[in-house]
Amino acid sequence: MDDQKIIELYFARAEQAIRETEIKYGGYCFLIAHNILSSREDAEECVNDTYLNAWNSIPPNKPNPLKTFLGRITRNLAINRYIKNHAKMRSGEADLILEEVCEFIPDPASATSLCDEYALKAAINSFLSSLPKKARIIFVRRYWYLTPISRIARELSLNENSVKVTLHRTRIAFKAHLEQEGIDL
Amino acid sequence: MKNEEMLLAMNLIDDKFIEEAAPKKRNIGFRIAMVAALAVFLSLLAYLFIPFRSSPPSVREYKDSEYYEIIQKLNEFAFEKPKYANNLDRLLSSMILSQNAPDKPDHGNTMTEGSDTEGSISFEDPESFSKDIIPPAVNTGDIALLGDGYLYYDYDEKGYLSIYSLDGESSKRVKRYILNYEANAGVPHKLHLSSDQKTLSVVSYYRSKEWIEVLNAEGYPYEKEISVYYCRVTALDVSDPKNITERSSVVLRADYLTSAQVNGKIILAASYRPKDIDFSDPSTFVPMIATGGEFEPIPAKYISAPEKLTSTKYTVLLMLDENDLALTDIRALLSESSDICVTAESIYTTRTLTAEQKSGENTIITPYTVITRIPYSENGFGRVAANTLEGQILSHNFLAESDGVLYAVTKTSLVSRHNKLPIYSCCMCMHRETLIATNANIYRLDPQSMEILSTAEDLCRIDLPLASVLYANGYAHLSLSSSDGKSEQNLSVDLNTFTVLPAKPSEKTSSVPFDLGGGYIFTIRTEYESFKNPKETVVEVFMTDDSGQSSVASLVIPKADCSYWDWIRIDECICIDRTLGLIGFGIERKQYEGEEPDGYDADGYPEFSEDRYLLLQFKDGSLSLLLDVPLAGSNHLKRAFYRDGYLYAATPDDFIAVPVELK
Repeated sequence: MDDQKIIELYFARAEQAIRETEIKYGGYCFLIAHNILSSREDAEECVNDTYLNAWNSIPPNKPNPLKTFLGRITRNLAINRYIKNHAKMRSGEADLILEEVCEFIPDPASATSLCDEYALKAAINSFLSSLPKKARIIFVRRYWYLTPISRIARELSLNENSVKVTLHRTRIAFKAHLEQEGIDL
Repeated sequence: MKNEEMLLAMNLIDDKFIEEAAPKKRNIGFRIAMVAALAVFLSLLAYLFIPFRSSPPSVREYKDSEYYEIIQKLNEFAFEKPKYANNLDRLLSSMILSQNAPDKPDHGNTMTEGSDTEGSISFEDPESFSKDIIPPAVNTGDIALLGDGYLYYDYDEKGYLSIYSLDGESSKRVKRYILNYEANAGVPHKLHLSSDQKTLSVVSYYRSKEWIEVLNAEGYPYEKEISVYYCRVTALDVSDPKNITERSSVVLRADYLTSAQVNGKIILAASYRPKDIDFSDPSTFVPMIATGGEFEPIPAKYISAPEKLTSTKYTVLLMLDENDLALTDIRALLSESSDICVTAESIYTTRTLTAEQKSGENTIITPYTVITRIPYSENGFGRVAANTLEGQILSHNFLAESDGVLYAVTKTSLVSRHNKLPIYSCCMCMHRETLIATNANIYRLDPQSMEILSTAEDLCRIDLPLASVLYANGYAHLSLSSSDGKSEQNLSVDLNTFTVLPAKPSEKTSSVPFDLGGGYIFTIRTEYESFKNPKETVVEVFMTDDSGQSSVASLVIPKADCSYWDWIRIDECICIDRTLGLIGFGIERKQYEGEEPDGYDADGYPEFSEDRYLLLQFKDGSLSLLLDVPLAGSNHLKRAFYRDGYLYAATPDDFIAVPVELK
């Protein structure tokens, strides 16, 4: 079923919307959640929460594309759950990624205004636009999907070292780009 | 929490980049297909490259069996060594062969069973029911025999044995006795009468459908119906023919070959082919015998096998006392026999095989015969000796033993099989073999050692196949007949010198000769005006001297049809009294087309033929007709005997006692 029809089901408040969402994007959402949480049970709960959030937010939202909309919900829910779990000394792939992210991402808390957030968003996306496609995909897979390096390497038919080097160079470039844009780290 | 919040900052990435980097859905179906393809590929590799078993399976688990030696040989023989190393080898070979077109790979010079030959030329099966030229001491039995005061006849659809008194015109049936088993119905029996005339031994043979349990390929048992052949000898007390009692019986689980009576013993020869062999159960690969009780496998000490088997078929010989059927000896030869010839001191078994020799695009096929001698005495069977002769021994008539010498005539053939004719259909295969030449050889052998003492080869014309042999009066009389039946020739070979006597051209078609005694032979032939109208039956007497065969006398019987003899060839249906020169046989007297019938049957329908019996006498160089009387029944089942001025003749439907006035 295409996204438009699924959204129409949400608008019609038909429970079939959840089933169709699960059929089409269940695996995608589970992958995102599992990358962050490294726990099957937690990831499944997170995905179920995603469906509930989607049910509650559509309408009024009419997401396009639906896929990334659901992905964002899942990711946020997973990170929240990760934060909660992290307090209990659990660890996962996210810990490793966080260390990398700290090298180049400014503290969102330091973004004192909406204007600063827009500036940050524009800087991130303009940087991604300037990257070669493969480097961009590696970057997003690593820092948005929080995918382990080994899996990125396997899925993109690269060796792990290449992925690590690409990520390292991209981070340096990204840091320089933000500095050039006048965003304080 | 700073780090986690920083992670959340990556939410600022645009959807298009998230979408671009989204992990691709794994194509599980493709993976399954790949795994399946890999499995198929590995299976194919295994199918192509796993080597075929090159040695027979082990039978060591049966090493404690008394039949272990037999088991080993059967196991080795039953195992077919693969011609190819593996399936790849086989496929490549078949592709190469199909391009070159021969249907069978070259076997070089190999031995194969005659029955396995293919194509239009098939080597003849030895005749059944034909009678040996037996020395007087040997009686091979028949469906009828003459006792001191009774005629015994046993061929009836219901299995009845009829006993007729011999009282001239007062003769009548005094007893009709049915043996107490059903399987004998409709099957001809062989009768043997003991020398004291008190015991009549009936040899019967029959087939029974039985269910056996066998294992399928997965090792699960299932029921399977098989045909089982039996030979039974039943001794009847006929000291009072009106009150017959069964005295004893012996049953052999094997197919009948022949029986003979000599010096107070009955010799029974049969063949047994194991089916669905299970080496843990001797009953599946050893002949079984029941001497009054349950069936038991023949003990291993009575079984002998050649060093290398050429068949899984046994030839089983029993020697029984003619009075009570007490078992004197058994011999089971793990070797197939096509025919058996019993003489006064020996049993000869014969078997035809073929040798193939590749010659260019053709394979030349020649038959040869393995002949085996088993001597016997009243104490049992002796040591086996064998030899190989070129050509075929078509029946035991081709053998004769005289004055310590065994004579054997063989029919030789040279057949060419074209290897490169394409195989379009089975019909096409029928034309791939061509008979190049046929001829006859004669051998003189020492029966003790079976060594060939002398040979004469190529006795005949190469275009007339040998049909039959008659040993009489120091000659071997050979009958040759073409496949169209038009060109026939009789020639004689002097047994002392192996000289072929000149064959005189005959104005009339010749026929298979009989021995009339006193240096004479005779033939019976039917000549036709048209396919339906027999013109006459001619009986002709010949004598043989150094100049060959010459006609001495002949008698023409108009409108008589005796052609059954040409296709039945049962010697016993011709009555011969060599002392008195009597010749008796049944005929069918037919009406010519368009003629008024001679009579009408009970339902008013015209009778166009009549079954009759003729009795002729050869005396003082001339033939004369003594009797021409009605006798109902099939001519090949008519049996007649002359005694004390009367002809006694019986069929399944009739019995006559007719006075005869001899010349």
